[in-house]
Amino acid sequence: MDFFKRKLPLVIVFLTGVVMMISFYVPHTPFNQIWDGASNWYQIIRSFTLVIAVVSLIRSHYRKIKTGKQGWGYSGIMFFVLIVTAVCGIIPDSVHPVFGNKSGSLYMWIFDYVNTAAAATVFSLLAFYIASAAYRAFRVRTIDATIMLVAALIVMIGRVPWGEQFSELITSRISPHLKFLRLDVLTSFFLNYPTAASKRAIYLGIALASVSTSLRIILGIERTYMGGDD
Amino acid sequence: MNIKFIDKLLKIDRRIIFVLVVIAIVIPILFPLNLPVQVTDEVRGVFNEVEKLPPGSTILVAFDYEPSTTPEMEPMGIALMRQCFDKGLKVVGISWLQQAPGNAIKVLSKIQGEYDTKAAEGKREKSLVYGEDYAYMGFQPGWQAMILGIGRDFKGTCKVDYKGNDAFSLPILKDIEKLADFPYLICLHDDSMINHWIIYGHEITGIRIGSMCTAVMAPGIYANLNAGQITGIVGGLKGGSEYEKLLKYRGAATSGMDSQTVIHVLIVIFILVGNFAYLIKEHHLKKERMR
Repeated sequence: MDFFKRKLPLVIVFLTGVVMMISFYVPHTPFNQIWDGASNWYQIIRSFTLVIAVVSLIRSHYRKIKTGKQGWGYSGIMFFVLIVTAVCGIIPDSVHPVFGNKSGSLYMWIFDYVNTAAAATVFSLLAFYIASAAYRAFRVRTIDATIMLVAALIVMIGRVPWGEQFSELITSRISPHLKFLRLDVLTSFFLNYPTAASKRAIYLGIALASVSTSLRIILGIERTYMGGDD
Repeated sequence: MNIKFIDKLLKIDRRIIFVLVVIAIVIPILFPLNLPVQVTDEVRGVFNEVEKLPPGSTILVAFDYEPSTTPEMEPMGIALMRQCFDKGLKVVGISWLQQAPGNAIKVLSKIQGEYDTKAAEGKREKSLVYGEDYAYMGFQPGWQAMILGIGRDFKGTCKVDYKGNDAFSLPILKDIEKLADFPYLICLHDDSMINHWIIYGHEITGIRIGSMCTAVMAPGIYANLNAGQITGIVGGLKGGSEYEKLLKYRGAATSGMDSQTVIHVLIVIFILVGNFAYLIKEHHLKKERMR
């Protein structure tokens, strides 16, 4: 039993990892066929994760309604919307034009006027909270915070038409050689140099960590995916 | 300065801030400012790449943004579609995100309606024909596996389009065997999708990529732009307004820039006033401690 629970998963991971690594670099038979087959399997498994997500959602909200937990009414609304949207989208438009997912169908109406509107509204709330946080929390307590504040102010004004016009007006009046102090020019400098450099460092770190973790999983050193106390 | 006033200023009810934000956003919409937009090199990088394609070329457009970012992304998508179809280019759409197809269908339907009207009014020889001028492959699961799959065999991986038509039956895909057969890929994304396209698309097949993304994502992909992995970035509403300026029309992105300008200035004022009050208070407290 120990072999099936502990050793066999490690063997499968090792063989799969090594074969897929070879298939990535060797485009010839049989590795290209293995690659194509594995890609199809991955897509199928990925699709089933959507099914699992829906089942998990239904179970969690059903439990909430059954136990009468606070907010169970919202779970009821969730079920109603889930069923209506699924029915409208799954039934083909050959049954009735109101079904299906073409433009003008009920499914697209729900997407445009409920989903998109609600999602955009929730996302838009960020604007209010950012404004409130900018006023209440963005303080020049340290040198780092001051540098960040100055950079933020330059980029915020440099990215809008007023900032471009205003800084061009000021710098051109003083001297044409001061063009580099224009807010849009400074913004471009910040984005192309410090931001790009720091992002590049982060990408390198992520890439090295991914390679290291992948090797650890393939070689059986990292076993957290198996669960349990290993 | 009266310290009680400074205290009140620091503890201002945030509902007052919210009301000021609403006013800053709504007033420019009701009374447009018509602010001029300057085009940046990053946006030209995408625009020029599309402009230099010969008529009849087929580009791949990845619609990968969620409904929450529709107000920012849709104007870019519409501008891109107008540029492509006015130039006689063909467009194949695809999506990796589950919620993205709704957005893609919305943009394509809107453009189809526009061009139907143009054809009816005689402004255009004929309207767009699905399957010949454009096609949409719908949601294709698998992210990296999907990109690797279409890198080798596009029609074998995306077997049907979103209407259920066999990929092999679509005239637009007649000469498309793999990803590298598209001269250009534009990714409309609000997350890190572009990284997968770069790693598994550009680096393996050499396909040229352009990015149209939200303003929040744009700073993070300048490293890719500087490395030559993407040709340009159209970032946020500002990028969309620059694209519209290059296409010589005033759309939703340009209109939105008026509100964005005013709200940016308002937030800068909030930051400056908040810090001014904070520094005054700190100075006052320091004096009190020294007494």
